[in-house]
Amino acid sequence: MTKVINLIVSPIALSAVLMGTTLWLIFVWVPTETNQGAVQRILYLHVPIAWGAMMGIIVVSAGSFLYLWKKNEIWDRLAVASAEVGVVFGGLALLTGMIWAKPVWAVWWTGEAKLTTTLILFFIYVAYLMFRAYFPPGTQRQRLAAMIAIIGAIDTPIIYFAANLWSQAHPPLITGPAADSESSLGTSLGVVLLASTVSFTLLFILLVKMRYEIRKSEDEIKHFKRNHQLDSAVLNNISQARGTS
Amino acid sequence: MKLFNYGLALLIVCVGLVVHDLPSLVLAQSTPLVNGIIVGIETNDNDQLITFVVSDSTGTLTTFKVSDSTKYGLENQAGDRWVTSHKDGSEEAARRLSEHQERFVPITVSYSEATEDSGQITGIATSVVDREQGKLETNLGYIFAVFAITWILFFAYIFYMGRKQKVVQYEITQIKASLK
Repeated sequence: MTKVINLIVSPIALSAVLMGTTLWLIFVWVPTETNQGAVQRILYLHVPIAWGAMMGIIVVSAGSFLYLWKKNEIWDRLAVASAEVGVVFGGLALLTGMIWAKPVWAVWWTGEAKLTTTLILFFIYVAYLMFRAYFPPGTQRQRLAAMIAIIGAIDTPIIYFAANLWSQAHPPLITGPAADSESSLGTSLGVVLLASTVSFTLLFILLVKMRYEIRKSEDEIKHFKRNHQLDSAVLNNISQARGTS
Repeated sequence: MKLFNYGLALLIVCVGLVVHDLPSLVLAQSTPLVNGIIVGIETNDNDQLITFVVSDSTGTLTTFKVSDSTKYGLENQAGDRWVTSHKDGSEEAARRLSEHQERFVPITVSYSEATEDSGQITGIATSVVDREQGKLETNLGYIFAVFAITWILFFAYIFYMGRKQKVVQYEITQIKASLK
């Protein structure tokens, strides 16, 4: 019984229920937008995912900064976990935006500011993860990766203000402090966008938390192996298991 | 186990939604549409729009009546959008459609309660918008693509993390066994 109650009140269940409610709001509750028709519903997925991608790089840079300051591995782990989830959100933001652009702008891609800066953000994530994957392990790697993340975070405000700074095909900001009141969403559309943003934020947090825990276990195993001389038979078994998985 | 629970919960919710929403999606897909130019407008004494006639690319004429719930999304020559319902802007609707007629601007009309009498189709317009780059009905394919790609990628990432967790679990078991 306790197990069932724990599952019901767990963040996982909360996230699943919120996501389900959001999908119901998107497909059933919210009215179809008059100008774009049904395809406008992509907004409720595209904007929260793009928000997740931007939130990701903020967490990566904050984690990296705290790692450089405190020299505590917790922050480095948080940065890596957030970068990995961020690359998923960033890639999805680009993909969903491209699919939406085709029926609305008649092209898959244009070289305008908002799109280009988002692509740069995706490359920053990829560069960060590639650097960590190929640079020899050690504190030098963690320090340099942290610097890449902090420099990469400069892209975030540029993405946020890009549509307002360079008026092009991408619509201006519809939410947030810099949003123009004339271009803001109506009540029902705004409610669905807010619900979707909350759902995807929770999903982002959950994924980062899960990735963080796995990373923590991996690090602990590495430290354990370093500190305790395991016999070669066990090490062979482990390397075999890695090879097969 | 946590990852499995999450994946399962999301899968149940998604399947439930598909089953629940399939009828409305099928209905949306079968909503009749006409793309064409306006060839006639009828207004009453107060200059409020009553009916308009659209000719599609094959020359078929369709007469549309309007109701209070008819929605408009039309642009003027300067590119300014005007969005409202017939109830709130029946005179402006007549004026905008006349302007569209003069400029031969193509529009898309979705309608209901269609009847056909000796080749003449009549219906009640539910929405009147500037013709989109693609047809409204094909746009549903884009929505499907976006939602499918998003969830496939999220599930793939959860699966990838599940595999990593399995390896870590195996390593812990091996270490525990070696310490006994």
